[in-house]
Amino acid sequence: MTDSAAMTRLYRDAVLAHSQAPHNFGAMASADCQASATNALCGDHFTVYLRLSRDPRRIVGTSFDGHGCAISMASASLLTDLVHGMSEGEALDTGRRFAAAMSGPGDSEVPEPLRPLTGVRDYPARIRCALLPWAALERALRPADESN
Amino acid sequence: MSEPAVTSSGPALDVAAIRQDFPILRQSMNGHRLAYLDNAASTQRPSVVIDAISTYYSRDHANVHRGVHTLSQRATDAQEAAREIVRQFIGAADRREIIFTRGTTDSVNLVAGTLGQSIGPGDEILITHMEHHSNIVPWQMLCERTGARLVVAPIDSRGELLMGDFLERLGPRTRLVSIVHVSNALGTVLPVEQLAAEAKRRGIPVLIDGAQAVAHTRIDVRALGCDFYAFSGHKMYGPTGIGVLYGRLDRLERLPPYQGGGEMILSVSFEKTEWNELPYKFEAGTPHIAGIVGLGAAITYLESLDMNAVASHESLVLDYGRRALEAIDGLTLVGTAKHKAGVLSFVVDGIHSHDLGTVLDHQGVAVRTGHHCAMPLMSFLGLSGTARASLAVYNDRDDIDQLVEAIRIAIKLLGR
Ligand SMILES: Cc1ncc(COP(=O)(O)O)c(C=O)c1O
Repeated sequence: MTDSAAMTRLYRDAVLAHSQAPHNFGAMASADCQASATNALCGDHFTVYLRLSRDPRRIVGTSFDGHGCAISMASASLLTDLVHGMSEGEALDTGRRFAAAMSGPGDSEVPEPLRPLTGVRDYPARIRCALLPWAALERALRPADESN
Repeated sequence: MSEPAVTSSGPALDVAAIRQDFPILRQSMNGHRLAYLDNAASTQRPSVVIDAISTYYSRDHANVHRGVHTLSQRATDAQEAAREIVRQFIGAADRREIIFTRGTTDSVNLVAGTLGQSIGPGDEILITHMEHHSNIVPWQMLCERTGARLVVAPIDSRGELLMGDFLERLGPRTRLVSIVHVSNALGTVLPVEQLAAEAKRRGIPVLIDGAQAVAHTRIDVRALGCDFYAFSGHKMYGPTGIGVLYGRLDRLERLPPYQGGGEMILSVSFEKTEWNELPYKFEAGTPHIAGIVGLGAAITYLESLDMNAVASHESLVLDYGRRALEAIDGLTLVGTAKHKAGVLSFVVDGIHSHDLGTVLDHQGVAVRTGHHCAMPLMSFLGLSGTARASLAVYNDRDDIDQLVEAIRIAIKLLGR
């Protein structure tokens, strides 16, 4: 693979498009839950905001704000599109599957809408960039006092 | 590009020959020549250092100061010979002033951990706004323990220390001034000699974090007038896990030991233990002997190049790099102090430093990206991070040209 091919596999057009014009960017005043995650290595920081319906309990509104690299921005943008309409369990499960596909051994599949981020797998130092907004999502849906 | 108008004082270095001394530089990286520009994080090692360590282990190793047998004597001699090399290198008066530590961080912690006994509530430790975390956190921990206060001298947006503000903060309660010699994030060279003189006039001891200075300019601790000087082997072509704390004899004598254990004692009974003499009082446990030997070899190597030649070579490359980077549209240099050493920190419009770092790596260019362990400095500058190219003796204009080309590729790929 030539350099530029590898680079464009990491920085696919879809990744660049999402990072440069992220979907659902901005704080949400009326969020039912929100949480933040910081990458201590670089100081990148995201907050994920969610609105939840009661019956059935589903995610009916998503947004995020914060700052980060192209990979984490694109991941956050994709996240807010993807989990919209999901139940909390589905959203958490998607995050888990994404994390497993990114950092786990073997070749578990990257969930379809997150495929543009597949190239990140080849850059171990950047995987945590892709996972950062998902850490915020997990925290929002499972505040620490309930998860342990 | 035209020759930078800098006059060099030392003899010119044969950089091509120097590059041959560093085996790691012979490899290609991601299909390109390796442009290693992350020397502020850690430099590479010349063969003479690698060989010295290998020879030590394959011929001379045993524990030091512990045995009467020949190998123990050889190991002890090797360690003490290195101590003498360090002493001469930094101009210390006495070999007992050279304490081997794990590195700069360990050296600062040694002082912070032992000074505490003479510090109480309301006392102050004065640092600057451009310190590495390792010259911030140990003092915060000390303050937590003792009720002392950490006082921070401000800088301006170019990365220059504000002298007046610094002097204002040198007060009657200041118990120690702890300042960086060369900022790892910006490259600013602080006027440490002048700052130390001001502190000395008020009877305040001074610690200098020399992590980014020792390999790049000649250090004379007595001329600097400092009480403590801390540095790391791995940032000066030596091994990791070894560093030095220089301390003036009278200061060291007044400090209690840092850690307890073997080597740092004269006699032990369960009732009373008598501390060993300097420097062993501060060297508990079996030291990193191979690291010490490697550090000695690294210094000998540096001396063979001539420190004045090293300094003027690096300043030529720095100047060339500054001009080359300034010419790139959308790139902003961070840290433009008048007196700078081998660091070019920069940001590029619309490109996060980590993305930049990844693309540069693909072009064989190794730079550091992020906050450089100086988060308070980054937040003062309003940045979450920068990309940083930092120089060593084996860098030349080719490295800079390769960096510039890689940045242009990154801008084409990622820029808006
Ligand atoms: C200015 C400065 N101080 C202290 C340190 C810490 O050095 P070490 O990690 O070797 O202890 C560094 C290393 O990054 C540095 O650049």
